[in-house]
Amino acid sequence: MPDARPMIEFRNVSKWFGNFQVLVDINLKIACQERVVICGPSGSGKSTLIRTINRLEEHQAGKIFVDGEELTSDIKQEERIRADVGMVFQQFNLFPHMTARDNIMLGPTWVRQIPKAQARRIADELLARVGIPEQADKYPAQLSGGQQQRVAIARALAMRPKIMLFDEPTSALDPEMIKEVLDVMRELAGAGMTMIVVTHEMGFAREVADRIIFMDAGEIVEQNPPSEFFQNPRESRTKLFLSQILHH
Amino acid sequence: MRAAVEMAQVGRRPPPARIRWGPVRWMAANLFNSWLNVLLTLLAAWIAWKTLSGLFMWGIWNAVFGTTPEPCRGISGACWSVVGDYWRVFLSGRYPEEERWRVYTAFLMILIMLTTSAVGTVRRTRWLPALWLMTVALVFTLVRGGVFGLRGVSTQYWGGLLITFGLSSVGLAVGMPVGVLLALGRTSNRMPVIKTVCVGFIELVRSVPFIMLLIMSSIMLPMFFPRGWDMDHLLRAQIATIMSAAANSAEITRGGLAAIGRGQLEAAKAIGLNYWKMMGLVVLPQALRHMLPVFVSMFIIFVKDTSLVVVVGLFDLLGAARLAVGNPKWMGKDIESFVFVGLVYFTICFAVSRMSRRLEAKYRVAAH
Repeated sequence: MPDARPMIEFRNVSKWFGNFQVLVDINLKIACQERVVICGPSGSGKSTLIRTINRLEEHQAGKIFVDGEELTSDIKQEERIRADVGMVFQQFNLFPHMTARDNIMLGPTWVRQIPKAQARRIADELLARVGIPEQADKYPAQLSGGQQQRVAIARALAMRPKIMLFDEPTSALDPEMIKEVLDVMRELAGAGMTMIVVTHEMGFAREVADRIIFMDAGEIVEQNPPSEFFQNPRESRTKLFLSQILHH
Repeated sequence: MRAAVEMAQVGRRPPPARIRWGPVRWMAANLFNSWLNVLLTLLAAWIAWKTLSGLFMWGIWNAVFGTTPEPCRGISGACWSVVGDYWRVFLSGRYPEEERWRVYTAFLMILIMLTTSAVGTVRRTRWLPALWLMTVALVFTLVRGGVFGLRGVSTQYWGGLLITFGLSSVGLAVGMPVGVLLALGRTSNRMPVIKTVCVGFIELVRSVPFIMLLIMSSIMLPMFFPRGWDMDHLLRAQIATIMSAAANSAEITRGGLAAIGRGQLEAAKAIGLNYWKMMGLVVLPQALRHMLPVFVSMFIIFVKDTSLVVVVGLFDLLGAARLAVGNPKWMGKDIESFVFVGLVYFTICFAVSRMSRRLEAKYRVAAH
């Protein structure tokens, strides 16, 4: 049963890169088990937004709360939060010197201190869950893009995170491999994971999201459940964006 | 889906067979295909013939292989007897004659460890590092003596290949990990004091020629220790090699670290790894694999640079060669002595370089 306290909360959060303000007074609450899709033109700050959640980027103003805890510059807290927040990158970022299975086992073994044999079982289960159990002993260079991204998702899941962040997970994939990754993400959503997904895949958003957030120039312009968002966009910027991506 | 894949292969067939040219045809096509090339080929062949035949006549045909200087009188070829007489000095310097077996045993132990470590199954066992440590301790006790009924042999009698190998191996073995730590310290932006110390050390050591480092450590190191304690001369030179190895390794590692993409660091951080785990499990394994050929060439350079210890009164392989020539019995046989030592250096460096190529090729497949 999802509890009333938001899993993630942004209060008046702003961030600057030098003199350029990339996040402008963000106020956002994301509930437990909620699936949120963030979209917007490039440079709108959507990737930066999700990267502040696990402190790959630091915010300079406002407060961010993850599962009730405010994010500070305490290193120990950083590591703790990161262990509970899984992230999947656009460029996969698998560790090339380790096999798929070893990539997945790394987190549980070295961060959660889980014994190797048990970590190995977890890894094999997750590989089966993402549909590629036979690739366990292959190195990332030997896998296709879609397979690599699925291993990356398994690697994030191995830490049993409370929240999964996806930063344009299918943008670097050849079109024929996008579906296999989206299928894994659909299954994850169906199983009740709190997910924040930055993506341009509107079909996926329409099907899976509880809420779609549109960002532009560092601000949250509009947010709505998919039916409302696609049929009755209120802001003109939203309408412009939708017209650009939905008709090609 | 599979039907589509099979269909795509229906039109394909293997490439045409390659025609292999015999050597005569190859030469005709590449070496004699124009008048200029014919001329150059003949010229090159003549030069090669002159040098190689000259070397062969001098080094092998007219040479004398023995251990005494008498048979060498008046011959036109090489007198390899200087090697025959002095080979023990080349191997272990002025080590006492009756105890030389200890040095040979030590060499044999190292050789055995090296060859068995190269075998895949052995390399993966977790006992290997412990085994190596034990071997090194054993080798050192064996050569140094003084315990277990072995007569103590102080380092001033050590020499030849023993010192050449010893200084370069220990220098690199200790210097490399220190260098990696220095590189990490240099790139850490959260700790400015450590960063300054590391930068200072690295730049200081690298800006000085190695020979000066040797001289300075020989003169200055005893000053840091209680007066009257004559610090082992070999130890002074060893510290200099370690410092040089550390500073150079630091710079090499820094280059390797810079080549690791930011995405790797982010992925490591995103699963909650702290700084040391990130470095030890993700970044350094990748960086060091890329830097392996550079480290091997550093070892080769060290093997050659240890010949400089002659300026601080130690006798390495080159020093032993000069010792041989200094003996009035072998006066005038400089060329033979140095050519032999040169061949030994060449063999060592070439073997190490070939081994590293094989290692590189293997790591490239796995790590990409």
